[in-house]
Amino acid sequence: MRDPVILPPRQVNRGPEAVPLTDLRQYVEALRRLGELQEIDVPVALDLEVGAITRRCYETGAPAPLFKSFSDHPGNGFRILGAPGGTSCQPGLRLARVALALGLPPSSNGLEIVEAIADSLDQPAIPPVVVADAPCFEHVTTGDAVDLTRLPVPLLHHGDGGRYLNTWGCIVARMPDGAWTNWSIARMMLVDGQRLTGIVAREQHVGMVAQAWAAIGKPMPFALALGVEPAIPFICGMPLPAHVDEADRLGALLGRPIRTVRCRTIDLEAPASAEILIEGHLHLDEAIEEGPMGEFAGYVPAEPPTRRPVYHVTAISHRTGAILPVVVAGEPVEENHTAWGIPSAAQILHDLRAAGLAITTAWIPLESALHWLVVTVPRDWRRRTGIEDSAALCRRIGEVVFAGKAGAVIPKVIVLNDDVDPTNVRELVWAFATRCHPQLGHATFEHIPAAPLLAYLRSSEKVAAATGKIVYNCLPPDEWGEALPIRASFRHGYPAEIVARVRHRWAAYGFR
Amino acid sequence: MSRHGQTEREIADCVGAIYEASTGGGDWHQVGDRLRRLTNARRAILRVPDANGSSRNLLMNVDEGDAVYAAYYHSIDPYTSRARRDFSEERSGHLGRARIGAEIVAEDAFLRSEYYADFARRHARRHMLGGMVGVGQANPIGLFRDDTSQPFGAHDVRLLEILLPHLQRALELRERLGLVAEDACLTRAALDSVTVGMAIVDAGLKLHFLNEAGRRHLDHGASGLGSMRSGPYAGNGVYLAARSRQDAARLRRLIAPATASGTGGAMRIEGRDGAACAVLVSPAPAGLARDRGGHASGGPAEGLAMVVLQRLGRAVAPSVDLLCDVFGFSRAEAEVAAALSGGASAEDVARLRAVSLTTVRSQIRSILGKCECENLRDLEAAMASLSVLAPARP
Repeated sequence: MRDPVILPPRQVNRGPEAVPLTDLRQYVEALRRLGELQEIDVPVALDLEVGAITRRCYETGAPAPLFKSFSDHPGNGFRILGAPGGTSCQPGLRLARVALALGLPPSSNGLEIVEAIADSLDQPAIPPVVVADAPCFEHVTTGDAVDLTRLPVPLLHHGDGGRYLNTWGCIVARMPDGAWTNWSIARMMLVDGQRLTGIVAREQHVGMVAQAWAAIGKPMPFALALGVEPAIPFICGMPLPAHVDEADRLGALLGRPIRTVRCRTIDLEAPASAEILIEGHLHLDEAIEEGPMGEFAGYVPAEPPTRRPVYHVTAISHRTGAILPVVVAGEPVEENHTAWGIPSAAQILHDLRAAGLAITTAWIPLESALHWLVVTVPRDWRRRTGIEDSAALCRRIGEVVFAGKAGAVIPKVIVLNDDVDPTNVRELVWAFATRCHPQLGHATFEHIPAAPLLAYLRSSEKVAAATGKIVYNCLPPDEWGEALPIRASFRHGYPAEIVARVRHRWAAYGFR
Repeated sequence: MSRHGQTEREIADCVGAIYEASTGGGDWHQVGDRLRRLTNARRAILRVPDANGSSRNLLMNVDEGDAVYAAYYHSIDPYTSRARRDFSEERSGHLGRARIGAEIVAEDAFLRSEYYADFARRHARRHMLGGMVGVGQANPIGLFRDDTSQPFGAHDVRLLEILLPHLQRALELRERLGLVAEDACLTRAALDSVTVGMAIVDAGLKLHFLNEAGRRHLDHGASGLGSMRSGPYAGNGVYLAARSRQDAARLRRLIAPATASGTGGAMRIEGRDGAACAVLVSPAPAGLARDRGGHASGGPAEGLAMVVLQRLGRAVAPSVDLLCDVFGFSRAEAEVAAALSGGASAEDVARLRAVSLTTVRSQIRSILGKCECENLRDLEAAMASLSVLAPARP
């Protein structure tokens, strides 16, 4: 195992509102101050009620619910935080939870967050620091005393195949030679008091690590850190390249090392901020039925349960009054779309720029449930890239996007000029509808790795974990050169002085 | 607020209005309004020469008093005649200085003058505060109060002296901008008169200049080249565009290096009607790049390229009058030369003009001699050159 190295923190100007939030409780307090927290004192049922309330919060932009007691799981002081990375209906604060979690001003917009993450990829890594103790070791149970059912594990969707303990936690796994410590996020279903199961695909990084352990005939040690400091799930959701330590990159993003603590029963360090820490081993050679579960595409799959590997738990540690964060995956916008989509867009933006392409921004529209990626380019992209025609540019963009880990999820890429704000869904729909020729200039790709949870995949594609993908060319005809269509809108279609005059006199016209 | 009622803000606003007016962004009458408010004056006058050789007041509309003054009283205005004399004798001592009327002309002399009795008294010009500004010549500026008002005092003098340097600079700026505008106007008129299309574009093919022949060429519906207004904002400019993707790509490949001080080159573009056009691309003249650099705020100026457009294969016959003037042809010779350069043979010309072939051959010998051409091919080349140089017909 590599020794942790502490580097001096990088000075990052994150604005006057930026306060480092190094554990979930600080984050909860920050949400409360912003009006983004709703404490729920009345008992609620873990069976579907927590899930339904949280879903309604997503869909209305209501504050994140903090559940304090459970009618069907009384008396042991655990709490649940729903929608920890959802969006807000407060004006100017739509992505406040995401921005706060990443140490950015709460008023940051999506493109600013993407840029901040993409920029951090060029910063030197800041490895984590190991601390001697952590609050989660207030209560520790090991061996036969381990009982996962003491935790408040909710049934999230009607139709789910079981209760899901992990929807927002950090899975820690390390290669047998210690060269790579992977932090990831994946659903984990409760099997019984000492076992969990979940998706461990060979293509996923945690699957690659598990395969390495299986190759030497051993189960993979794992730690599941639940209720960690708010930035960690975002780096777990980020499609970094294999063999890159997520903790190092998060340190670079936050400008400070992440604190980790040694586990009690396995040779791993886990985030020291965890409210609940689960330790154990993943056995790839043992399988049990898992799922289905409502997922990020917005559907509860109709398929029967699938046999998945088993996690055997050797220790549970938790703080008094521990908070379990819960994501209720489904129709947008929930955390898969923010904590997976936004870092994915940042990684893709970085990859495209590193490939020498002139890209203004990359954005995965939250409402697209990770099925669209929008890439915008400046009008002089030809001069900046040396590529002559738009079809060739689209093909090159597709080659870069689909070659990366993020591209395994994204099936459809939309390329537009950067006069369009891709975070504005109304503008995006209009631009896609009107600028995309149904037949000309698109780049199609056959048999590209695909996330099996994409909604429209056929059974054979799910089995093959591959599908066809497309880059939609929404750029003007090549003969236009750098000319762009003139937009017939208030903002674009009138001289600047008229626009300013109308804005200035708006109240004088009688509008309120 | 000062004790005399003007805020620094009002004075600053007046200065701002002076410069806005001088650069064309504002109105000189607004300057007049502000000056009158600041000095509590009834009238404000700043006379500047106009295009007709007479003068006009920049600061207010003409009223009845101005008309009467212009018709007669200017010739007996004691202030003006004294001021002009002083100004011519000691220019530097007067520029920027403000004076009240009594300093220029003794009060009793003024009150006894015909100018006061018959004009100033009746047109609200009893009291005067004035000064001189000007570029090529002295231009008097005067602020006037009527009989019912207090005379101007030392505070008013100081106030006008604050403003006079700004008025002086504003007039200089106005003249300079006027010269630039006139220069640009003449350049455009000259380029509009040539028969070849000329455009100045940047590396993105945005048009920065297009002469009249170029505009006609790009507006021609069947041309292989066109111009295209661009967004996303209205007013984002007009771009040179080829009608076909291939031509557009070749054009970009020629223009981009030319804007970066490369060599440029030439290409041929065919229109929908089959007519071909030669496109010659070269770096923009160095002087032009320097001029644009002067506009930039510190950063390097964007590179530009010159694009010359010339339709190929069209008849290139200069006018008969031009040929007579340039080569000393007789009218008949000029008509023959024009016909020959349009592709007609000697036999065709003889038939068309109903003369013998011998006559035409004799005329051709004379024509070749006068234009110092060896043969008809040379003549055709000379005709083509003249055609390009000949002014375009309106």
